[in-house]
Amino acid sequence: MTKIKYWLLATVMLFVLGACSKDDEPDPDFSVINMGNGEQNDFDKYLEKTFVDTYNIDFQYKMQDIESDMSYALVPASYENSIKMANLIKYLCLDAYEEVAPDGFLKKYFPKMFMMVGSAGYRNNGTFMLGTAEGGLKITLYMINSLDVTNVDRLYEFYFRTIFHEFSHILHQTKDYTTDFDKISAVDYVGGSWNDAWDAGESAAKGFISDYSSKETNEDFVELIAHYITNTPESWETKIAAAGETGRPIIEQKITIIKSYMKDVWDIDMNELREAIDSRAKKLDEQDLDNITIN
Amino acid sequence: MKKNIYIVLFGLLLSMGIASCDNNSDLLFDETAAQRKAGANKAYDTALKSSEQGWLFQYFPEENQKYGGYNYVVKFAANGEVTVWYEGMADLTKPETSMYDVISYGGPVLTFNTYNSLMHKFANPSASEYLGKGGDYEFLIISNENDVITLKGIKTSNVLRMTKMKEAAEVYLVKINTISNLFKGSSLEATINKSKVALSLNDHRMVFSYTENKEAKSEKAAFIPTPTGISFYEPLTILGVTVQELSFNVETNQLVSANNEIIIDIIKAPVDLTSARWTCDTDVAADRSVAVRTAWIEAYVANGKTYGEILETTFSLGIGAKGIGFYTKSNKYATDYHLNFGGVLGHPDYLNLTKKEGGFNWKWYTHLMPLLNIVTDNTPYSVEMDNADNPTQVKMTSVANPDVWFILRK
Repeated sequence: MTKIKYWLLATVMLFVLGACSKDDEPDPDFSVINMGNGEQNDFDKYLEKTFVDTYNIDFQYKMQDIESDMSYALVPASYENSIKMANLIKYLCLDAYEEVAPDGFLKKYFPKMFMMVGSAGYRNNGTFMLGTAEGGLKITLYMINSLDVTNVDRLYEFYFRTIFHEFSHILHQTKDYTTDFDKISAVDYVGGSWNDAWDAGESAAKGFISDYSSKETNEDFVELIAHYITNTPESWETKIAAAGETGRPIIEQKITIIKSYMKDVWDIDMNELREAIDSRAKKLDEQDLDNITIN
Repeated sequence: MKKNIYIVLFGLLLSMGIASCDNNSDLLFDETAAQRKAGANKAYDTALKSSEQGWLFQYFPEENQKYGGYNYVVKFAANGEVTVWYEGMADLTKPETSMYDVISYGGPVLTFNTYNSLMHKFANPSASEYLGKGGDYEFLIISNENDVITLKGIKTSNVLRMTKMKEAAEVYLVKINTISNLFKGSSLEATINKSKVALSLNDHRMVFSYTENKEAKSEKAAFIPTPTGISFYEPLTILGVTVQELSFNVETNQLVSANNEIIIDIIKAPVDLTSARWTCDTDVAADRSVAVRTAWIEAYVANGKTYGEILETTFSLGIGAKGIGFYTKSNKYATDYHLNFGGVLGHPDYLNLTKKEGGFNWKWYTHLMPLLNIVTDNTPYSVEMDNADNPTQVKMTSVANPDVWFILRK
């Protein structure tokens, strides 16, 4: 009986070792997924060098609507505005972090995929999406066709707060912040009803920097980062002053935790980061955002 | 027993070993599936680029083709660039260039993948049209035969055609616009098999209303202008007559089928009110009759009562509202009611205004009906213009009730 077992084993081994080894291996040089015409234009070459080689970021500006949410009607971003947005992301975001963050930080943690959409993602009630993120990996920016590079507040509101928000999610998902933060507003989070839970100014008085902050602790945490670094010290002061006697100390308490988290865990000084972004924003009109020359 | 099982198992393995891994078997195709897909895409791409004058793209947006069809000319070039002309563009000598690709997605798909204000005109959404006009910009390529590429819209499943152009886009589209312009501000009347059939027009779609075997019927037919007339999206059958193409007869101002079974009279209005925004200020006594002012006051009072809003003294006709538009002063709300604009057969100086459907915000403003009614109930109007070629002021006087008149200014 045992002999038969050995025979069986030997036969199976023979099959495994000898089977089908020739010609069946996949060819690593031939992709079955990306089936475009493969022609690279100047912008593609620029993106390859500036985003892929340096940060491993895939900047998608050629829309594949097939791949997007079919319940929305979306149109592609224009070539010209996609160039502007790529340069803006580099200038206002990547380079600002580069100034204050440790070497290799962006390449390791920054979201790996950006997708440009020309139109807003309108819903049937007249509202629209500002940006979406899938698993902290892919950030979709809408309304690229109505990009106005002269209006910094609009740039922050429509695009950059989304980027900073999603990036911050990656950071706390990688290394979590202290549970002390969760306790501050624990009883005031409203979950999915954040959108209609508050009248104007009410969420601030409860210590939330935006209505969306009141959804849950993680959103509160990243909203605070996104708002803090896109405000000047003066406009931040105005904002938290508006939160009144009850809201202000709560926001300040949360920001104190965030600042030490960013410093201790990531070696990033939030005030330096804010300063880096703000000084860049002030010089935005000096930038050539149409430039796609490879240095 | 156990021994037998092992013997059977051993036998099975042995037979598998003998039968499997026949390295000498021939592949059904010389290339892998992926390589063949890439090859097919490349072949379509080469075909697209091969036309020196580009391709005529007969485009129908929306899954029920409710806006009808529109002519594009698309010219494909190296580096994934495509240049686009559109029949409705302001200046035919200024086409717009963007990017395209042929990708695989359940088959070869032609995609216009960076924004082009002409190509994405019917797809572009807005707060008021959150799905845009339901236009496609990704198309499954079905076939390429005899200089005709057949495509299928990914979202709408509309079957569309691209035909190799034999003349310059600018030259071709001028001919198209001659036909398109026939419909602007015109009304239509159809005669099918010698029976009169009511016909209305919404963009490039006709709606035939008729009675057959004592049953009221309505047939919607999307069409696209061609250099010689119009072509329906699919063959149309009304009262036993089937037709797909109609030719324009310049002398009679008619669209006719090959054997004259279908005749459509194009009744030009004395002035095309649909291509501009015309306004009438009811506050100006010289610009309206007392009857019109009285109707305005009625609407003003009703609006004040309903919402506490102040109705503007001015109403508009024509573009934007696609009919008649009303506005409120206090918080700038607008509403409109879509109208049919047209002429009256045998009366070249008469203009006809009839109700089509409630438009933007109308469901909230039905109390403005008295003002709408006085305009549509007293149609047709005899028209006097300050300048027949380029009017800026048009006096409309009701033919049936001369007490109803108003002056429109551009």
